[in-house]
Amino acid sequence: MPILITNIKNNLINEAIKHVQAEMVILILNKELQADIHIPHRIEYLDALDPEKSAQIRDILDHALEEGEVELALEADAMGLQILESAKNYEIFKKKNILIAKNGKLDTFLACLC
Amino acid sequence: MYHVMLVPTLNCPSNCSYCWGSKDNAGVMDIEIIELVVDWLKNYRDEPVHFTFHGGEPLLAGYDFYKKALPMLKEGLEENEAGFSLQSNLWLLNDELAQLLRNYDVAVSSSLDGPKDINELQRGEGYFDKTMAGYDIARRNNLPVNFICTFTSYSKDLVDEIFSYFLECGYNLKLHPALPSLRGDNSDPWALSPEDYGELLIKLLDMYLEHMDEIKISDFDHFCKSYFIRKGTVCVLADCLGDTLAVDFEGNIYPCYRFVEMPEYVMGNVRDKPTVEDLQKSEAWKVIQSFMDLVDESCKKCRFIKMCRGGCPYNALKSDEGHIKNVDPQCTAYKMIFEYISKLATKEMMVNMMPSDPSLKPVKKGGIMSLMIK
Repeated sequence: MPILITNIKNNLINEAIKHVQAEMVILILNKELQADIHIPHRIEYLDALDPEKSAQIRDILDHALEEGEVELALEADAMGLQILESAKNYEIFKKKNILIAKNGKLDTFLACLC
Repeated sequence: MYHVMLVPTLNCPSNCSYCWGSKDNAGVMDIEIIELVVDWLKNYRDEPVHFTFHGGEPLLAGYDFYKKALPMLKEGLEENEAGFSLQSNLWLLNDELAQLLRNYDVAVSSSLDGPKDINELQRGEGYFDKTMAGYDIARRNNLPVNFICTFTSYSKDLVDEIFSYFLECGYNLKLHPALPSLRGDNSDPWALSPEDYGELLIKLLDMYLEHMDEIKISDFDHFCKSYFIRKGTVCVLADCLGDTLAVDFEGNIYPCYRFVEMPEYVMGNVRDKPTVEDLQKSEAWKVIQSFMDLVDESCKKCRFIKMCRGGCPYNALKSDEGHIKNVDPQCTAYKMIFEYISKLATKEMMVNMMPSDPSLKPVKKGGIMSLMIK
């Protein structure tokens, strides 16, 4: 089952869902963010980020990896960077395509998370 | 939390070239107004309140005023966890006042436009020495002071010199662009255009990122935080209506200190203990509400709408001579800095994704992402 983990907060999220044909989406947002994003998917809110919180992201990744094939679509902000840093702990994300919201569109990058 | 700006007087002993916030022979607030403020706010909103004493020069109200006002507000509004700030040129600060302000954890800000020669030109002869004398008194009484640096059409070209000055002195600062006023045209020649302000912000952000361990420029912390949480964290980047109020020496209530003593913007008076619903019926409230409605429509396609909410309604009113026809002209500057933050954040992401890509220069530790979670 394709699972999308993302922090994208605008309509590019729908493009990302379509791109990876996600059957499950986990949107990770900062707790201070009053999101008005309406997607019928799971939204995880985390506190302002610190090293301890990366453990929460790793938990989310662990569970998602048990359930299916995980794809990342990230927006460049502190949460996106934290998800990326957490992904570096997993072999599966090394040399894997990652979607990045950049200049108002989605780009695919072959990440080297080493 | 909501914010009430108390303006004890619009009098001011200094004579800054671009100032629009003072007035000669203005009245001075009596302590009775503070009693009325406490009575009014006890049942106004059930949430924390922060007071800023502003002016004119608020210390003209005198030691006795603050000796009564601070405990009156603190104890009278204990359930609202009242907190305090004060914006002053510090000329009238003495040891007694400094200790009083410190005892009530008053966050003090003062204006300083850079080294002495730039200050003297923009703020008048003698300003620098008098403010520094007050700053010395604050320091010896352990009263922290942050500085607000106004950039004008003149000083924008001296940004390197000004930044170095604050860096060398170890002063934290907040930026303020000189802006046109509804009260007169004396500030117009000094006003910073939105394009110049945007360029200034970008240049200063680069300097800040190089020296983040040595200095704090709170504006950039707010811009980055606002970008991250998609919500403005200071008044000019947020829907301020109802969350910011100002009270003048007679107890008149305005949407912000920038409207003080402009009768057409009076929303009510503390003597009448108006409710939020009462203030909503005022013409001034409706004017600011019309600004928010305009932002919802005009900016709906802007990707930064949630981060700046069209800027400051006062600036919008000024740009169309008292009418709401457009958003804050500083929108241009806000777009420029948010675009730049977005670009820097993307670069930091890419460097982390592809560290071996030779086209991507390494990012210094503590980059733009660290400001987002500061």
